Amino acid sequence: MRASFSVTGHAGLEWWIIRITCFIILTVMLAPILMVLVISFTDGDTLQFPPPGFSMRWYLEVWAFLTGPDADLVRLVESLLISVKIAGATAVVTVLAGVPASYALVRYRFFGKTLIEELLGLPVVFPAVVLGISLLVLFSATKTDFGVWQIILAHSIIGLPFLMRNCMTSMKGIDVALEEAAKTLGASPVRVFHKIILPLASGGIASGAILVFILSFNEFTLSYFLYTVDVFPLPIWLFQQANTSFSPAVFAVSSLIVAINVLAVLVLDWLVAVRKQPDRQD
Amino acid sequence: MSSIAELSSDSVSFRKRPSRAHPHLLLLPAGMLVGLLLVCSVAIIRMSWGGRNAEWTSWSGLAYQQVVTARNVAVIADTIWMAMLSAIIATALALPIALFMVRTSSAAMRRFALVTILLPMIISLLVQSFGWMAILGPNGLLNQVLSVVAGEPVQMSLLFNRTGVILGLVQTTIPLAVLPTIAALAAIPAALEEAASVLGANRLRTYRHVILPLARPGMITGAILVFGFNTGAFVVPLLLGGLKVTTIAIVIRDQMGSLMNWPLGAALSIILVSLALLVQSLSRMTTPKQGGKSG
Repeated sequence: MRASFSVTGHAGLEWWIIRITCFIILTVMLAPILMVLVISFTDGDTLQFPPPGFSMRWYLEVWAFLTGPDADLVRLVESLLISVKIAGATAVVTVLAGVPASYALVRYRFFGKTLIEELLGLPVVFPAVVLGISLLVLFSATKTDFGVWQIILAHSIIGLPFLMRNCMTSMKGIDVALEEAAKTLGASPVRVFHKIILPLASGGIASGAILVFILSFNEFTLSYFLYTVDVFPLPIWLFQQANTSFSPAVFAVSSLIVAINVLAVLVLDWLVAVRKQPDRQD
Repeated sequence: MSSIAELSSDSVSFRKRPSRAHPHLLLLPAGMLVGLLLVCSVAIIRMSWGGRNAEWTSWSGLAYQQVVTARNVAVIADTIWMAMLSAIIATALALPIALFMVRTSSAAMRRFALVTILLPMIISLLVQSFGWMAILGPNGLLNQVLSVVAGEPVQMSLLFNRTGVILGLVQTTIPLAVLPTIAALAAIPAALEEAASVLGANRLRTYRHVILPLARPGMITGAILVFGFNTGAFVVPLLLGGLKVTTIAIVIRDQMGSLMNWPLGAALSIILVSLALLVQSLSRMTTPKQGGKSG
């Protein structure tokens, strides 16, 4: 298919230029992440680069923080747990809200559908700072305090379109004849949804949920406006550390976050690959 | 294949409308989340027309007069300028990456490149800004490399100024430019390039007159996406700009926070949201319709 490149004779040179440029750009893109990983293994007390030596010293320190008697010394454990809780709850909320909505948009035609589609895509372009500020204003003006749910709600708003995009893609692939057959055989709409739609769309729902989980776990801007003394997510913890004591321990924690993120991306990538398989066999 | 299934399922559901259809009920939970967003927007609009310290009870246009003062106009212009610059750089860098991903014959390499460009967008921005600090700082990696190259100590300051911020903005949004460029490049038939070379065009001419014009819609879409995303930039300028680089988002934070001028913060928020909506409608105009091509 790409035989055309040998026609000109410059193909080799051109291909090398593209490859080398691409390699350089990708390296720069990854450089900050790699930097954090390398420095987290330092032997020294500072963030100097290159590190004087390599050791697991700061990881052991972080491990001691996490498990030791004064585990809550810098509130790391608390922040980690609250972030996992928020991310998990956000994934659940977006699934509960997004899956029925996706089904409605994929299967039904109704008045105002285009408008609703537009509105459901709005959170993607809505500036996070404005959303965070206005939620803060709204909660304080109405004198309500939902505690941890303030951040979960905020994250759910921006996570919803990402879940729905994944969910709708896999729902569109479901043959409507399967549903018709089930209905003809006497299955109720709820049963059809439960026995046919959910299992067949599970791949899309799962990858959407994982994406929302990572988004929420890493989200900073909304949390920055809505965090309280009791609800102190991990990105806020990192931000505060960066402003106060910037020790390699922070880089070790950061590396662990990178590991969690990469793991989630790999699962996501695998889910997408699995989901594509039935298409290929057709 | 999937597009055919999609078409048929659509037409079937159109013909046989399910008897007990409650699409609006299904949309209710999601509608409540988006409804909260709309309530927020209304609150911000109301607040922007309110008087200072009496945002809900009084009416005043003062906030909008403050928006057009020289200082705030400069911040708005600066934000747009940085977003534009990052969009141009990201689009230019996206081209070789997209060319590589479209042309490589190795599926593993393509997947590796995809994961690599997606990581900076997904991984915590805080973590990445720590990395940038270690690279761009006074004794960072970059200055060390430059010192070795120059043969004398180099103390170039890239942190806490505009260069560092733009670097960060480009790095975190480049996937938005790469993905539409890939889509545009992949749609170019190989026969066109062959024809160009048969007719005597060298590779440079082929790029100039065949590849780039056909990739342009995708590249423009990508540039608009990056621009739109970066007009709302908050985390990157907050962490890499120190206190020296301000964007609209950061001024909003300051006005709503320490300066306690809520109406001005709200008015700037409305400018930011309008900018985002404007960019979105622009991108809708430039994005080619997907339905016609798949056949």
